[in-house]
Order: sequence, then structure tokens, then C-alpha cells
Amino acid sequence: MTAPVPSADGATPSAATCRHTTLRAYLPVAIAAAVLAAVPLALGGSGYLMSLATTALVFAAYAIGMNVIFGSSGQLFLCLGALAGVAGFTSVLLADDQGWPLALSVTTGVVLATAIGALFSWVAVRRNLGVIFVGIVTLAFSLVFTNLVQGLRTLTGGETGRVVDAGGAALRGPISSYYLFLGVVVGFLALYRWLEGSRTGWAWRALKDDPVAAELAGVDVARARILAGTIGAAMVGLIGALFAHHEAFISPTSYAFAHVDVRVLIVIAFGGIGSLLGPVVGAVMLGVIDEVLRPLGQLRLAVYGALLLALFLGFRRGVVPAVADVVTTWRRARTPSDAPAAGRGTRASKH
Amino acid sequence: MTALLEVRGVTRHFGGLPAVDGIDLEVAADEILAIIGPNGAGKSTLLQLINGLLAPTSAQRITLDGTELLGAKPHRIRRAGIATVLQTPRMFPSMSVRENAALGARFTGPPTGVQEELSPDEAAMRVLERLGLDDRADAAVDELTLHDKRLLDLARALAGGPRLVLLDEVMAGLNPTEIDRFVAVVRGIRDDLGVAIIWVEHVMRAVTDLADRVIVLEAGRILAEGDAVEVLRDRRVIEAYLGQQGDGHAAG
Ligand SMILES: Nc1ncnc2c1ncn2[C@@H]1O[C@H](COP(=O)(O)OP(=O)(O)O)[C@@H](O)[C@H]1O
Ligand SMILES: [Mg+2]
Repeated sequence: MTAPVPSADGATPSAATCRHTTLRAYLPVAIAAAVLAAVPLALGGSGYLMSLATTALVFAAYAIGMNVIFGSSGQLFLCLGALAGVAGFTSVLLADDQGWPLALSVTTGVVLATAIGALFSWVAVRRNLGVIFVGIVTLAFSLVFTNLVQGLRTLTGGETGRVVDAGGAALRGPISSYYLFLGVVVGFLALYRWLEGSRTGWAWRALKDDPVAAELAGVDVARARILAGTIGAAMVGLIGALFAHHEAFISPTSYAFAHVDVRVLIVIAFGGIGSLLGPVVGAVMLGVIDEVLRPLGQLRLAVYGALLLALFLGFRRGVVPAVADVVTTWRRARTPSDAPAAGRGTRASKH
Repeated sequence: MTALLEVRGVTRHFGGLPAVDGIDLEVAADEILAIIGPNGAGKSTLLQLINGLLAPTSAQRITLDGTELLGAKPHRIRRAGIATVLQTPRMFPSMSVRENAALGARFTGPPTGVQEELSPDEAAMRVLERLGLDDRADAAVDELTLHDKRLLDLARALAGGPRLVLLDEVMAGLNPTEIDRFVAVVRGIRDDLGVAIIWVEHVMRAVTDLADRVIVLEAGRILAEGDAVEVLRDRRVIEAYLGQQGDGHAAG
């Protein structure tokens, strides 16, 4: 819907300006990294606030994964928690019970989650499942996963969960773990930006607009969709595994649909589907809401449900993009000449 | 004549009824082949069997330069060198005119007749210049007229360096001036770039102007084939086709 703004000269960009714009595309990532890196200073070393900030990073990372899967190629995966949990439980079982090195356990967990994500995408593409059916199939997987974890009591600790031993000081310390998850988030943001400008990114954009036209233009639509499911699942799996070792405790609750998927959808609804920094902004908002609603206890979930309804009904494109549009329109009305600068903002937040 | 495209025994049924019924055809490397026929004759179906959007009920072969394309997905067929402009323009609304054209070059070879390494954007600009759309390169696609949308669809097709372009009634709904411009563009593509064209058309004036050869389809079968002027004089064609149209459309 957002019309690209004409460039000043309309000339074909030279190689030099191309490289320049490429670097500029990563500027939002660098700024976000700098701002988030300063957060521990602002929080003055409070352990409680640091843990809230780390949780926000975890949800930002999940949401970036969801942006890759759903935002890029329209596959509604309602099993982010389950994919994260597969990686988490696999890694914990291998590290604690089998004595595998942490890095190898985490990697194996991620590989398994990735394989499951790829499988879902492949089935969805092969069977030509629409958004709703992908949602139903993956939601069913979420239920299977939760019940499986609860059933395999001796391995997983059942509903109560189990203590996790493996995980060094870096994963456990309030400051160091914050920076670890910040590193992951910044890495995901850079990857997302890079993907956007790659052939795969153009394939995603094209197939979201019109899959038939995309095929006719030479886009392997099936491959692009499966790639989205695979990359996104890998991201979600990595966070899920690191989270278990960070918390030093693992239980089905941390990966439950209501705990992960519903909240990620709220993050996405705030930040805007397919926007680069939306997940970060949305996750911060979620953290604030979490704190405000804390006195409600279990009732919080009901509020989340209502919030999700309101957000998706009221702001289909996301709260941040909607606000950004209003600001852009307002600024353009005041100073008509700054159109190109405003254009970048709308461009990053489109879809 | 050595054929660029060879189609043998292609049939497609819808609900048990044949829409395309055992069609054989060949197109030479720099030929403009027009396909005409009444509504529902199977013209669009035939094009979609060639570009892979539809699978044939049965077929012996569809080859481009000897390469078998039967059973290949549309993107493979596109990469092999067959581009399509469908009856309704297909745009990518989230992209600018330039980005729409460039998309055609991102997944396939360089534009036909271009030897240098070009970025997709550069390839897009070359083609947009050729088609006279370069002044709107940064516009949004919903700002374009129907005529310009068809040109942009064609630009996306050419940006990927096709050897054969399938055009489905690209002149429909255009005014006489726009038709003249489009005819010139299509002729230029063949004359300058050597791209072969299969061209489904209702505007007979354009057909007699441009086509090297005409095939008349009726009820999924080839009713007549040959030089444009001769075919249009054929009694059976007049009865089958013009009789049904009955609005002087064909006299153009
Ligand atoms: N997707 C489809 N499903 C069912 N019938 C179809 C479909 N596409 C075309 N047909 C039928 O096939 C016949 C040929 O249609 P078409 O190829 O569109 O004709 P033309 O392009 O010559 O007007 C028509 O009878 C049409 O109703
Ligand atoms: Mg038709």
C-alpha cells in the first residue's frame, strides 16, 4: 500500500551507491544494538529488572523467528513454543543425562527443531495447505508436544519440570546472560536484514504479493516457503535451548502455547508483521504490560487473549507501523521536501 | 524450419470435457505465431499448458530447443526461457515499477540481447527504457493505466531474457492508439531481440499486421493454420469464429 517515494534524480544507482545503501540498511540494527547495550547501565544493576530485560530479549528473538516464518511467507506456525521446547528438552536431556558438551547438546536440539519446522513447511507446501490449515496442524503439534512432555515423566520431570545443571556462568549471570541474548537478537536482526535484500527475500516478497505471478517470474515458491519455515524454526530452536540452560530449570509451562505463542503474537501485533525492529519494540511493550498485569496472576492470560483480539482487529498491520505512518504523514504535511527520508521508514515497516 | 518450441499431442480436460484436445504445434526461433478462435476455444488453457500453470491430462511432449518441459513447474519453465503475460496483468503491488521489472531478472538470465553483467535493477532499467516506462520507474504499480500494466508485465518477462514469450490477449481493453503502440512494441521485441512469440489475440487488425502464421482453435482443436490473410478468408474460419463474434471485430 505504501508507494515508494521517487528518488531525487531517478538515475540507476551505481555500484558505489549500492554498497552505500547496503551499509545504510544495517543502520537500524546498529542503533538498536547500541541502545539495548546501554540498558544494563540504565537499570543500575537491579537483578530483577535485568531478568525482565532478558525475558524481553528472548521474546524479541522468538518474534523475529515468527517474522521469518509468518511475516515473510505467510505460514501461520502456532507451534513456536513447541519447537523451542523440542530444542530445550533435547539439549537438557543430552547435556545433563548423557553428559554431552553444552555446545553439542544445544546444536542437536536446534537441528531437531529445524528439521521439524522444515517438515511442517514441506507438508504444507506439498499438500497446498492454506493459512488456516497450517495453523491447525501446527496447533495440534503444540498439544502433542505438551502431552508428550508431561507423559514422559521419568525423562522430563512431567508437569513440574526438572532442574537443569548444564549451563556456565555466562548463561546464568544476570548481566552476562543479558548480553548473550542481546548478541543473539542482534545476530537475528542482521540476518533478517540480510535475508530481506537477498534473492530469497525478494522471493518472499513476491510470493506474498502474488504466488502465481512469482512462479511465472521464475521464483521457486515451494522452496522459498520451506526455507522460511526452516530458518525460522532454527532461530526459535536456538532461543528455546539457550533459555532452558539460562533458567536452570525446564518445564512444559515455559514452552506452553499460552506462554510462548500467544505472547509472540502480541509482540508481532504491536511491532508489525514483517517489520525489522517491530519484534524489539513489541517485546519491550510486552514486558511493560507483563509488569502492569502482574497483580492479576492467572487472570493475565485472559487479558492477553483479549489484547490479542483487540490488536488483530484494530491494528492489522501493527501498532508501531500505524503510528509511524501517522507521524510520517504529519511530517510530510509540514515539510514536503523531506519525502525521501520518510520513505525509508515506511519501506522498512511495510507488508 | 527448426522448431524452438515443439508441442505434441497435448490434451487437457475440465470435468471430463476437453478444453484442449490433442494439439500439435511448433514455433520457430524468431516467429510470431498468432492463435485466434472464439471464446472458450481453449486458447488460454493451451498457453497455461505450455507455461506449466496447468498440467495436461495427457501429452507426448513439450520441448524448448530439445529440452523436455513436461511436468516441470512454472518457475523451471520460466528459467528455461518461456515467459508469459497473462490476460489479467499480474503485478507485485508492494513493489515499485522498477522492482516489478527487476524481479523478472533476479531468478533468470540477463535480458535477451544484453551481453554484460547487469544487476537486476540495471536490467530492469534497460527493459523499461525499451518499453518507454523508464520515466515511471519509481512509481507505484497502482498508478499505472491498464496499457502500462501490460507493458510492465511484458517488461518483467523480457528482463529475464526469454527465448519465447506467450501473450494472452494483451490488447484487450486498449484504445486504438494504445493498440498501435503495443503492436510496435511487440514487433520490436521480435525484430530487435529475436524473441519468438505465441500470441493469443482478438484484435484482428493487430493479427494481420504482425503474425507470421495463424492457428485457429475451435473447441480445443486446430481448425485452420497458415498465413494470416489466407486463414481469415477460410470459409470454415469465418463460420466458426466470425459467425459467433458477429460484431465486425474481425474485420478491423
Ligand atoms: N480452471 C478451469 N476449470 C474448469 N473449466 C475451465 C477452466 N479453465 C478453462 N475452462 C474451460 O475450458 C474451455 C477453454 O477455456 P479457455 O482456455 O479459457 O478459452 P479461451 O481462452 O479460448 O477463451 C472453456 O470451456 C472453459 O470454460
Ligand atoms: Mg482466454
